Amino acid sequence: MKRLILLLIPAIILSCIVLLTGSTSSLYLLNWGEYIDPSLLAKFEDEYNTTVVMEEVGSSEDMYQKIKSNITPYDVAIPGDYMIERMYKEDMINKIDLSSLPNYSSSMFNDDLTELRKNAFFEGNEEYCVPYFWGAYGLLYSTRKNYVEDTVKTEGWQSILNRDVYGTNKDDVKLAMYSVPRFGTTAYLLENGKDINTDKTSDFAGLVSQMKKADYDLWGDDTIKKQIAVGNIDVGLTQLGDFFDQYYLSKNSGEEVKFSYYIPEKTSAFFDAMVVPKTSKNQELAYDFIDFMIEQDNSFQNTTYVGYSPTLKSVCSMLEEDKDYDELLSAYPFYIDPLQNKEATLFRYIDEMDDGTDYQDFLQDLINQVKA
Amino acid sequence: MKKNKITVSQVLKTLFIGLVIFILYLPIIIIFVLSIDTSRTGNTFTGITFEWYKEIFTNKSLYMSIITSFAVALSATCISAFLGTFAAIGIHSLSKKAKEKVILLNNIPVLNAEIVTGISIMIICSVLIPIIPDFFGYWTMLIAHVFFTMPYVILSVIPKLNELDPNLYDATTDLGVRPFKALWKIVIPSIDTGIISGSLLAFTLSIDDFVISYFTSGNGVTNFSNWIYVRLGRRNFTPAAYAFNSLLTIVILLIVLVPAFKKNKKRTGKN
Amino acid sequence: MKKFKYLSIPYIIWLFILVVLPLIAMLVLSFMDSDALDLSTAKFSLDNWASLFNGVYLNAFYNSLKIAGIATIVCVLIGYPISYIISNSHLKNKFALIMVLILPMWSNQLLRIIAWEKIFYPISIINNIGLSFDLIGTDFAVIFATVTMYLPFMILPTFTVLEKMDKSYVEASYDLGVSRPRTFFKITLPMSSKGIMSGVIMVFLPASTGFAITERLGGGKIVMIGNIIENFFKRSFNYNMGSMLSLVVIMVIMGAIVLLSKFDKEGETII
Repeated sequence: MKRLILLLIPAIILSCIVLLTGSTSSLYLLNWGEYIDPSLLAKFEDEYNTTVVMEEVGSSEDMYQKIKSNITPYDVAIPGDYMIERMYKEDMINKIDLSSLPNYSSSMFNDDLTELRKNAFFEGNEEYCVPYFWGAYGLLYSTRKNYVEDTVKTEGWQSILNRDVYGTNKDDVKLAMYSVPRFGTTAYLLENGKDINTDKTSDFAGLVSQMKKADYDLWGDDTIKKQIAVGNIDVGLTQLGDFFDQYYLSKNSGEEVKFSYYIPEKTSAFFDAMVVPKTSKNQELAYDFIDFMIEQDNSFQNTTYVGYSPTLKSVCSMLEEDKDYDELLSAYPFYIDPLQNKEATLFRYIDEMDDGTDYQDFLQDLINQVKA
Repeated sequence: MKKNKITVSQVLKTLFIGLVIFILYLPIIIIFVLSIDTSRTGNTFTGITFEWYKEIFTNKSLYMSIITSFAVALSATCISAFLGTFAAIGIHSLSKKAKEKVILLNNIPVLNAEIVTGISIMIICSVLIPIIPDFFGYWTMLIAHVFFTMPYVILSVIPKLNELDPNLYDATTDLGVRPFKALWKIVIPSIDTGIISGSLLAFTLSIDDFVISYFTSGNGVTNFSNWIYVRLGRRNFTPAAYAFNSLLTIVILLIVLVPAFKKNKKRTGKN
Repeated sequence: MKKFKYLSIPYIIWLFILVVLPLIAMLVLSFMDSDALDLSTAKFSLDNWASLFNGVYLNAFYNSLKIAGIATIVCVLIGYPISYIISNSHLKNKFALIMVLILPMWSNQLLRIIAWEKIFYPISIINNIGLSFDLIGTDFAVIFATVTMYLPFMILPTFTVLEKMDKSYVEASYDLGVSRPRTFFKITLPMSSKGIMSGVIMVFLPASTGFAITERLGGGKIVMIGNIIENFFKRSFNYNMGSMLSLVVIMVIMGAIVLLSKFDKEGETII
């Protein structure tokens, strides 16, 4: 028992250290893991004489749950597109007074993205979110096996849905699929000409049997890109940003880049944007942060750290003019122009299927059936 | 001479234990190798470096999460051990029927899936938010950890209480010692091993927890496991995490093995 | 000692708030169709329980029972002998050796899972020493990793029980001419059964309700009940189904414990 009392001393000391961090004058930021350059945060803290308390999550759903639970007074959050729509519908985010953002101008974002937001997203979204990064969905593939690249480029989504397109190599090729139901079912919908935001159960009719036949070697989210980079998996469906993320990582580790990316003709785009949740207690600081992040040089610094496609036109120009990025941009032009004139749409928030079942439950059930 | 002969069964037993230890430590060895690998991705071994060990002290989000993990684990262990022991004494003194019911209740957190425990605590704590706005964070994580570790302390202490000679306590009080002093001086030392093993278990469970901590954290407070979990994706997390883990393992191994070797030396020395 | 039964009251209240209330809440939720915790739009529904016999869930239950079951049996077959060997040895530092076996538990479980990933994927850092295994997605990988993660939880209680067991019974048995194996099965094993039971519970429970190991080492292909519950609570926010399945898990496990305790002579509880 006495030994335990001795333990109390370090316990109390450490507890004090934890309790003394963070204060009400801090900016509470809810972000994805490794989705912002830490030195930018430090720069913001210096410039505005404040501290940033950042919480990180691994999914838009986690972000939604954290904001909804009202536990932490988040000032800025960076959810994904369809989640922003959900938060808007459920009255969880504040309207942003764009005129209070000195760095903002309505034409500052990539034209493709601006057009998608105007035509394929909920009305008025321009006043509720400020884009952070964006991209498209496509196929990340390993270049270690020479037959893979050709098949992926000619077959598009089929190369991830149907082993037969690999002919004699169909048992040798290693395929991976996103385990997040929303994205896991997207390839099937796109390949079969359906709307990615469909709520008709009939549109999913052949999904289970086809995907079961594909016999995926791996289901995951972020593990896919890593295993493709290493060579354990040959083809997987991922976000565009995942490719550059791994590309930077490999380059920095001195490893050869033995993987590449292909965006099929019909795809879906995505974007993550900054919102101001209603939990915010520090609106002014929230606006300062958003304004700070859309400032050209800061955005450029963030882009080169994170690896996702920049949403600002000015940053794209800076990358084009920067000699260091010549090689990257000529090999992968879709870095600053993800859609490359391809047909794309955005993910919307869908609550229920046409038969009343919850949308997420329905999709999750399909995926579970495929795995069973 | 017969005493020193090494039998086949002794060799087999040693090999068996050695094999099990090796397999249990395989992941630890790999973590160590990754911690000194210059490659950030850990895909191949590209060279030896100790920069990741240095990074433990410079990466703020990393060391804060480590400090949080230890602060919570140590505090929760102390609190659970203390409160749990007294609760166990209380339960032990109940009538048989009441005892059985309370122990059943006590076991439910043990039997529940962690995710359920985490969400239940989160829901209950969120009820208090209107009253105490900044409640979440360190305090809720601590409460959650005390909650799920106390049952184990109680389960370790109760059997020891059962073994206790009931006459011992009565004899002490008969001699005029006040009840609580009797408790402190006589009862508790006799159940010492129960308290220690319960505390060990509590600490082990607390230091490694990520599911329950996830739901009960907030206001920027996060523990080591959560720090890792959130980074398993986007970009590879820095090998500094492996470095810290290896450091911890080495330190604890030393704490455990050095006194053991000293003890051995002493005894053979005497011979 | 009867005086001290009042010490248990605070704990009972604590348990009531943190265990009973959530259980009741889960029970209520399982019979409803609501939008997460928003009870204003909730309506009574038996749909959740009706879907229990859906193929997907039955498959998940089967996977969980299979994998956790095999892992638990392996843990008993390896863990108990280890505790037995060490306990019966004449080592001076038994406890230190046990600590060495327990130590890996203090390494973060997520990091250990990553280490196993490196071992089981064909292309990884272990290629540097010429090894390569292609076992991701197999039951073997998941069971093997589960065993290594939870073996210490089997070793600790069995060792504790064996250590404090009254060895005079065993000696008396030998003196009476009973053979070693017979003594073991008739005396040692029954007397240490409580330790095995706690070990079984401490291994089986997290193994069957966890999701991290299967998610990462099963290549996402193996769906266990823990994964499904996680999806309900964290992806689709369907607390109704999540509660229903969690309750089923608790009932199954409690049922198993009640059955097992019929074999336990003293009728006492776990550890």
